[in-house]
Amino acid sequence: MNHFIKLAGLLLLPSIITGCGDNPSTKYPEQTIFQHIDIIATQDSIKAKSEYYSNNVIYFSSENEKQFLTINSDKKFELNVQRSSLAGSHHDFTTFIDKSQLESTLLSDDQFTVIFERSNGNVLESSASLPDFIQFITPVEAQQIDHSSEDLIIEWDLAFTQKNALYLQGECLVETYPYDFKDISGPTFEISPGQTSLTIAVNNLQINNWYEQDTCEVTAHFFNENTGLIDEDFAGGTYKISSHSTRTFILNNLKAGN
Amino acid sequence: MINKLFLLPLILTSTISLAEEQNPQWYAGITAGFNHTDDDNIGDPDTKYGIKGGYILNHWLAVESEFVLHGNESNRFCDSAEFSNKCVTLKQEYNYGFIGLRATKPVGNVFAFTARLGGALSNYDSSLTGNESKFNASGSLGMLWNIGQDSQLTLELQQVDYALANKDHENIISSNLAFTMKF
Repeated sequence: MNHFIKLAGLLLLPSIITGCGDNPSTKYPEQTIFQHIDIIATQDSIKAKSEYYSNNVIYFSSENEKQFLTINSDKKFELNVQRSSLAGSHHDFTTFIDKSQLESTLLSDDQFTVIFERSNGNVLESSASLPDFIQFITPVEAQQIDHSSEDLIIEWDLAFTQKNALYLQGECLVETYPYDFKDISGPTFEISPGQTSLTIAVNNLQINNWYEQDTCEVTAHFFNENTGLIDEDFAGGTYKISSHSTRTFILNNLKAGN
Repeated sequence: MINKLFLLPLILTSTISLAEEQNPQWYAGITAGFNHTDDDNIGDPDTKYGIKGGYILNHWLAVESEFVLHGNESNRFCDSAEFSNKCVTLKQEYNYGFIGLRATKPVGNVFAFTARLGGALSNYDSSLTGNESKFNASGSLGMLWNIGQDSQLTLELQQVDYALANKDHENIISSNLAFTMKF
């Protein structure tokens, strides 16, 4: 009888072993994984997010599963990765790279490559080139504009080939709630292909009722977006990269509640 | 690959014939089992079935060969709906051919402990990643029941190492039941 008890124990052993396994997501072949990359770059900073999906978000349990961002193959930064230990938390996995880390100005056509190093030794590379930075012509930096008597005229140098948007952001402006990676909370103006200026008529900006000062610092934002190529070994995915241009100016003689 | 694996029992029997001893006893049978694999949605096979055969060298040792197919697996993997509705289907086929030695330690006249050690040529074929084969050590441990003079049931745990779609290795352990007859 003792022998049968031992045998029964042996038969149960694999269930015990396999039941205590690590998060299995690292076993997923990359051919079943969809990668989605979103990068926004100013000339001296980068905001990057790279996520991996296969039915649900893949939470990497292995410390050996890493991802990196290289720029022109000479600068290399490790990107944050969702790991199983953080699953369920509302942790932000966006990676911010600032001026001190970059050491030099970013330029259009810089090659941004996201490298996924898997625990099995496979390396996947998804690449994109940074699109042109939009240069604002007017207003000039820190220009003061009397918005009670002047139209706000914003001009830029590069016509978009597709629909785009101009974002304004300032403490005085009525906020919208951003739901995308751009994270700009302010009024948005649609820009048509070929358009290179936008005129906002006098007192036509909606000012917060609670805003009591008559001057306000406002920043205009443009995102020139390009798409990159996801490594062909992935099941699919998207790679969005945007150059982010800003221009800050001062609006005077604001009328609250406009 | 499958055709090559089918040849293993023939090679085995040819080899053993050359070293035939007194009172040789051949045996052959069928085998089936279920695998103990992670519940990871990757689609590891749940079941296995195959044929086996061997030659009894003496009262406790035999040479054994086996060819096993696992149940095919097909699973869909989809993108996040936030981005697209695209899905891919991963179809997986597993099989292996084993050759090695089986030792048996009787416990009375009816039951015996039994263990097997040898090598298994495992083959993994995936619709997305292609074919991976490897030859590695394989073993098993279990109990044998002599249900008649020339027929036996064997219940054991078996281990086979596979090189999977992600080129990682996975030891598939299975509970296995085999029926064999001597001739």
